[in-house]
Amino acid sequence: MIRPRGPSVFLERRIYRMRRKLDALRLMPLLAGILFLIPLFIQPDFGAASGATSRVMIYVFLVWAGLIVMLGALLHQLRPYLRSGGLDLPLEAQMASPASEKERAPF
Amino acid sequence: MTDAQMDVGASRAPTAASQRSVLIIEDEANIIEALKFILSREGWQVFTHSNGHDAFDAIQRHQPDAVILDVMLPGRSGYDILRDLRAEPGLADLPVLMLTARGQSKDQDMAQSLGANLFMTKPFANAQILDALKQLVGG
Amino acid sequence: MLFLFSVAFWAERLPAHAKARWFNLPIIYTLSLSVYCTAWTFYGAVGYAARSGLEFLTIYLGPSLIMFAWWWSLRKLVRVGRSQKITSVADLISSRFGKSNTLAVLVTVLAVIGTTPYIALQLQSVTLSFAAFAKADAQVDMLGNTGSIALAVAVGLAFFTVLFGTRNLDVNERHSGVVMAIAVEAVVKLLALLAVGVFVIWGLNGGVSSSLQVIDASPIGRQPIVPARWIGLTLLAAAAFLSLPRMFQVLVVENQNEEHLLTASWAFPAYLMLMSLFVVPIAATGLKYMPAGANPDLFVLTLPLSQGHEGLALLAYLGGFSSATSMVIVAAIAVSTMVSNHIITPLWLRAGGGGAHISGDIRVVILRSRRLSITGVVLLGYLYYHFSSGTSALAAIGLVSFAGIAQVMPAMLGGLFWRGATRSGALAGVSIGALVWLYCLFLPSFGSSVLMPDQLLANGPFGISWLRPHALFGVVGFDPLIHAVFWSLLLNTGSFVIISLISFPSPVERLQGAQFVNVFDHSDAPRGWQGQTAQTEDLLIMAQRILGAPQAQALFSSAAQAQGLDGYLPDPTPDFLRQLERELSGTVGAATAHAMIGQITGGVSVSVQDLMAVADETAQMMEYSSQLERQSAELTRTATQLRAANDKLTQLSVQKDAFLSQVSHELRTPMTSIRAFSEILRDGADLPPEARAKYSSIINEEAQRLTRLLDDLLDLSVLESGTVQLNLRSGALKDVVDAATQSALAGQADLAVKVHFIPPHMKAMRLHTDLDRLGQVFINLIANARKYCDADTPQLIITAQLRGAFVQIDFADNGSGVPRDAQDVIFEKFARLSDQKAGGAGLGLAICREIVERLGGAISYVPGGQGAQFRVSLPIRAPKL
Repeated sequence: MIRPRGPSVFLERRIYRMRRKLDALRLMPLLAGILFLIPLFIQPDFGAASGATSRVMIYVFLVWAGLIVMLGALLHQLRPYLRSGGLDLPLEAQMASPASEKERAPF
Repeated sequence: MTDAQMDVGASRAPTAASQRSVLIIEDEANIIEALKFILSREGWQVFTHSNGHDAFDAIQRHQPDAVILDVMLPGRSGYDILRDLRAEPGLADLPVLMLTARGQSKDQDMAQSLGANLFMTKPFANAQILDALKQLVGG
Repeated sequence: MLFLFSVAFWAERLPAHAKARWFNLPIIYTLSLSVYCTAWTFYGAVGYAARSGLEFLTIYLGPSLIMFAWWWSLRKLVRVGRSQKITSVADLISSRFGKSNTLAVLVTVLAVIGTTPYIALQLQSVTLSFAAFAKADAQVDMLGNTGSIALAVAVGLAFFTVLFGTRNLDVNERHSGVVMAIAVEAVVKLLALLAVGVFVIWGLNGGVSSSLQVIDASPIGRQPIVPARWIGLTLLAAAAFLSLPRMFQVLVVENQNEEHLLTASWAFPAYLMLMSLFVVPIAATGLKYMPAGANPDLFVLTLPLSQGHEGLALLAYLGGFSSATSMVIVAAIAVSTMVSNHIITPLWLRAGGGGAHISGDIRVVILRSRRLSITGVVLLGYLYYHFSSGTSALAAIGLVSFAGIAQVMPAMLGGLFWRGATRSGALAGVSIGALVWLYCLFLPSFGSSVLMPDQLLANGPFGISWLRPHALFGVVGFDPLIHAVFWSLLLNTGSFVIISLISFPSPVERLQGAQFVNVFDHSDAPRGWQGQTAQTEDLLIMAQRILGAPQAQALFSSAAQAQGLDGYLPDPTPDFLRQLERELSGTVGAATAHAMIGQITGGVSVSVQDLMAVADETAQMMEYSSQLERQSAELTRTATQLRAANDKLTQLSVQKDAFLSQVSHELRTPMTSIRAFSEILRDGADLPPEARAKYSSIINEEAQRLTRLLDDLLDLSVLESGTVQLNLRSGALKDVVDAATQSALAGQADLAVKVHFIPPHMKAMRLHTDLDRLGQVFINLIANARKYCDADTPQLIITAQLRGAFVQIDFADNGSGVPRDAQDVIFEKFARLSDQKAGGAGLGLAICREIVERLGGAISYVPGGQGAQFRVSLPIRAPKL
């Protein structure tokens, strides 16, 4: 029989998710940098009326908007965690706290 | 509460079921003897233990209703024993009366911070010990 | 303009709670960042796009990248800025690198050089746009020529900035009025640009797809993206975003709450995106509709005008005006803070000589110097405009200015993330970068032969071709801007890193370095004030002059309260001095605040506690103790001696404490038994006679124990105090040993004692010493063997040997001996080995040691024997004392 998972397991899972979201937050600038460089690699033909300029323009604005939405959504989900820690890597602190409580408990 | 007091009143022949037990952890033989006399006269079942090494085992073995714990013990200090006690799930709530002969306020602070229920400085009046134990064990 | 004043007034007049609510809105913070978008972007972006196509996007993508990377960059920057009360970029760098004012001055000069043309550019845009309007509408023309417009605008802006920028001296009180005005202007310029964009796309071109066709058909459609410029400009814009004085002002100094970054990090890129969304369509449409030769920099304004939409044009004009004014205001505040804190105030302080003691109100001086700086900065901008308008210089100055201020970047990032970065490195990096920038970009930017001779530009100085400003080291074919950015930042970073690696930081630098780099570990950690003797009253007088009387008094009285004192004067503890220094540095900058407090606290002689604290710090900072020692060898030596003395005192006091606690224990333990049993006897009339006898004897036994203890204690205290009278006389060693053995065994045969004399004639050896005391020592040692020897048949061998002028008497038993870890302490008071079965108080060996030492000998434990072995070594003739 499978024992029902306790609340502590659920909590750890949530914190795990949050940590990965924080990783995503950290990697955002890398992603943005790569995406904004792409127009350079494909070097479209900027001949007369080729439409390249408008295509690149649309691409840049779509990426831009996408990144904004992504970051906004990410921060919206991370907000409670970031707030509570005053932007001080609160998740690390949360992960560390059960262990340190165990150490403190005997006193 | 009243039951306990009535037991005390009828303490000449206490019944096993209602008898409260106390474990004295103290290294001074004469003090053990005095405490044993005082407490058993009032109907307490008294266990004794005289060193710090295996005091924790003694507590687990006897499962007393209260513990009188001296601070300066050979082998292991009373503070260390108390600390272990409070970390042990089954014993964390065990009433502990801490005794010390050093009589400094920092000892009292230390005992309090480690979770001692009561703290007394030697020497004491016999009645004080009895009152303290009653206070600890729902008396 | 009037509108600006009223917004600022309204914001400043708001009641405190409403103010807090308004300014704590993250959206206000986000909008205030829009000061990045100046008239250069409002009008210029369209011009830029018309000339160079999509490249203008890099100017917005760079800051967006910084915002996307806020977790790495801004979070730390803002935290450092807040925790160290940083007032400007110059202050940040000066503070990080050991509060160096040289560095601050360097950065300030760079900021002034970079900002002045930029202000001129704003004035030009206001004038040009006004002229465009005036041409269309003759009625407005009566205001006169464009030059006077620029002057009027400059004066108005300077007035506004002085009014709202210097109302509060402490920069950390922040300029709520200014920020609110800028937030409002941010909305105005965004709406204006969006309105023009919507008009162009749907009004003129008839929809999105046809607009795209217009774009692709225009010259813009044939502008390729140049990779080097795309990457270089993006990075340049990113760097400038962090280091431009006005950006640092709104990003860090005016930041009310770190959490605002959570919103700004996505909302500000969104703002930038919206600002640039319609730029290309407007540019392409302008190129299509406007006559050839029309200035594309004014399309935002002239396009609606040419189509007869004067209302829209007015809105566009307001947008451009907002962009220009907000830039000028914030830049003037930021740059004037630097000029005032790092140039004028230090100069004034030096000229005044006596630091804070001099007469006059520093507060007034600082306010005046800041107002002067603001006016000066704006005026400088106007003069620049006046003398350079019409040249091609202004149009290009935006990027040139970016490249100049970006020279601060390596030192700034290095300072935030690398503890090894040093002041010398930062100085070298910033100055070399600035020189290269001046030489390769700034001076040539004025056009040929204005500030730099054509000859030099073409052939290099003195004909050295590899020093040509646009082809440094023979690298030809680079775009001049990218060329300058590349070389200046490369040489800047390179020298910064190399000099940092080979130079040695001062203690203050190391402390500050740790504080900056590890700001999240200790946002409130110390930085060095130890002045116990500072005159608090002097400090209060100085603080009142700088912070203003009410604020200074509030600060001091709260500090006094925290220390548990009444009134206004707290003790000048290091903590308080640090707090005060931080508060002051919010107004006058870190280096000046440090110097001011130093002047007051440093003038008085150094106290003992100071020396102790310095010595402690010396120990903590072992890494550079050698340098400290060289600098102040004398001080350190004295301090070390003092520390040793203090250590000894502390140790003595700890020992005394432990001793008292032990005495208490030893006295109370027998008393406990005595009291308990006497109460039992008193209360128990029905006790059986045997019990009574037993308890009485226990009482007796314990009373004797108490008496022994008191005897021992008295004995010991007499011995220790040195007041003991030794009764020196001659006698045979053998007699003393025999008498002691007899006495210690007390007629019992539980210990076999053998005595050897080597050589045997030692038996007759006579000692001149206190024979009774010596006997006491022997009795103690024999009794100890009797008590503690745990062999089945306990045995004690006493061996007396002659060793020069000494006799050496060993007491060796056959028990298990003293455990290794206890051997060191057995001669200490109350160092009883195991339990109390022996009944002694643990003073015996301590007494023995005292006696033997009095007699001029020594007693020790000899490890490695079979059992316990004690060795008494005595001079044959005890020294007379």
